[in-house]
Amino acid sequence: MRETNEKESRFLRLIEDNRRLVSKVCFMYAVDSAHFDDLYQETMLNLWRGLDTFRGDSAPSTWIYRMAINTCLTDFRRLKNRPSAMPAEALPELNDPLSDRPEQLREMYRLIGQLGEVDKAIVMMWLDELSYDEIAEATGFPRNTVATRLRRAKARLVEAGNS
Amino acid sequence: MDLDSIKSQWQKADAPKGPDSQKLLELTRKKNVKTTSEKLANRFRTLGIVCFLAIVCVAPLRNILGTTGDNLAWVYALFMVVMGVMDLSLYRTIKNGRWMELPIAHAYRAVTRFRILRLRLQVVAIVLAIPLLAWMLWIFYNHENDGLFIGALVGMVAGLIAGLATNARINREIRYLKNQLSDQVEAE
Repeated sequence: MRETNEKESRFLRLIEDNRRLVSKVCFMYAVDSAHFDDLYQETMLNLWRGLDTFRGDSAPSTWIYRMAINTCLTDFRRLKNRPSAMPAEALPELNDPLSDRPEQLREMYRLIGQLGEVDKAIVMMWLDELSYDEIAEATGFPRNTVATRLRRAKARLVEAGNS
Repeated sequence: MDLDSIKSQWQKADAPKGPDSQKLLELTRKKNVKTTSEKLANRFRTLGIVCFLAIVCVAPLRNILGTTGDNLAWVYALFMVVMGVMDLSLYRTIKNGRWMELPIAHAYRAVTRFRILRLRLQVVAIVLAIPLLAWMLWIFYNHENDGLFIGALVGMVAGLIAGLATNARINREIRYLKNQLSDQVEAE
């Protein structure tokens, strides 16, 4: 009972500290709002289950990124609904007419959403300023491969954004 | 597009809020909550068991067709065993996959390969079913009860149309997945 309470406290702290990270990841892989809720809940469930085996060898954010993205990648409901991202007009934050979010942010979501599944993950981690080593650890790619893939993904984003 | 300004906007941006913490905690306390992978695995396990149980349907077939249908009944039973083994192998692949523990690229590779395997097994099932159904149709054609043949013919034509459409969709899906695998994981 005491162990459960400690685990729950640890879990709640983890959720509160990393809620935005998980939300952004699920948001980038969801195809609609209901799907976002499902992915979010499933990610949290996987984090709960994996909490006992997380020994702190990596930074919590790196571990959470990996769990969240793996949850989204192994979601078997998604494959039927390509393209693999929520349409820009469905973005609730950006749809608010009183919002001062720039149009560029909406465009960014759209462009990143069009990247391949793994490239999307790499770009998101880069945007959150994870180091190349942390991205390499989370993805399982060598560091040089991360650098190459990131360079290509950025070039695709710039090209798509300018076209 | 200025990527540096995009980066700073991304870091300030909010995504939609998910369910609150207490609801998530209640979710973790439930005994039987399953992820989509676990639900899929259980579905394959159920299908596998159903395939083996369907072998008992051989008995009515022999009653209807008499000794003429003996060989057909055995081949039908063998077909259901093959289907059951395929479903149970997919169940085991998911259960043993431990995809959450893998690095992202490895998990993506494993899941994509699983999806390709599943699609290929569907093609195998369709290909094995066609001669079996054609043979069944031939036996019904020579049976005194015309209703059997007509019913089987209608079913076979409908099945053939659905099967061809499904096969085309499956092949498109396999091509897409293989391209994704090549681009996302295997290209350096």
